[in-house]
Amino acid sequence: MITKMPPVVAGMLFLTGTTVVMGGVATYNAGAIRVSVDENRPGGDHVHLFVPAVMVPPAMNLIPQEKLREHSREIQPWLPAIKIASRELAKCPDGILVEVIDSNEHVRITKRGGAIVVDVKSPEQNVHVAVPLHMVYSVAEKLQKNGPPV
Amino acid sequence: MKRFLMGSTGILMCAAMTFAQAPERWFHVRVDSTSAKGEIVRVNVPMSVAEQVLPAIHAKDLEGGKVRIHGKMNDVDVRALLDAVANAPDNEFVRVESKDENVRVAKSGEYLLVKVRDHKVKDAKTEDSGEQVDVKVPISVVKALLSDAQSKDELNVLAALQALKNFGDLDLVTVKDKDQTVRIWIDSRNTAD
Repeated sequence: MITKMPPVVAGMLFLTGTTVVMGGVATYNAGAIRVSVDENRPGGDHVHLFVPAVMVPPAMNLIPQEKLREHSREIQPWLPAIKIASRELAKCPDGILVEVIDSNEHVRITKRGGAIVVDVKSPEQNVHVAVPLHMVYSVAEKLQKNGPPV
Repeated sequence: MKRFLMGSTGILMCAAMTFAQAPERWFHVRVDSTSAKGEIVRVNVPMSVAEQVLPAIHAKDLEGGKVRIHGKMNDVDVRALLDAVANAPDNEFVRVESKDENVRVAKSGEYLLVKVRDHKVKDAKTEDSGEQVDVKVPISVVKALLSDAQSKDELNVLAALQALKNFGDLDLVTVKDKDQTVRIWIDSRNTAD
């Protein structure tokens, strides 16, 4: 038996549904930071992080400005280059940027889609980090704005 | 109708040629070690990225796309020397043959060629020869490297990179010795295999 839903509840459900879908689309478009660390020893730790990139700039506002300035001092001279590199890499075709292989470790930095992906494979652990390039740009810009006056 | 179709096809082809983007050029470095560790290093950099990023780097010896080398260049006018080489016909300019090594510097067309064969370090077991260095650089790139510099010990890497864009696939430097092989080249592929 089908009961009729009151129009207010239906409207609220519609609004909630639309918000969830729009949020999902925005998160999907902005990409996400993925971090995976898998220790190869028996009983080793497995850490998997998935942080939507849209959350990072607002989260940076929660860090006290003084602390942000203090910790970003060393990286300040490199921020313009990081911003340009992330912007230009986003326009480039995908490919391996750096690869180092030795008897113990395999390190690979790749541009894949709109992200920089770092993979490290070693007998001890496997690490995978993917960061959207536009997020690198916006974080660098934020750090530059909060940096000491030039 | 036939004329209309031919005309439309022509216009479409012209439009496609105008809007088609040139393929990305990549700068590659590959180091293969033959030692027990067997290390392999591959670096692939899109030239457009390097061209944009270099002027933004302000490090100790790299400023605005120019790198400072700490060599004794004051006694040699490298620019004048290079101009003379560029304007000269194809020739071998330097040939040194000694017990330890052979060095050859030549001009072939628009390229400057340098060959070094080192006989000092010879593997007694494998009879492998010592270090072998081959450099093939367009003269215009070397000129760009020495252009617009504030002092004699400065190299304009950005200008050289821009000049390199005018050339096709090119092996720039190859170094081989008993421990490792180094290759530096440019092409349109995004892998260094």
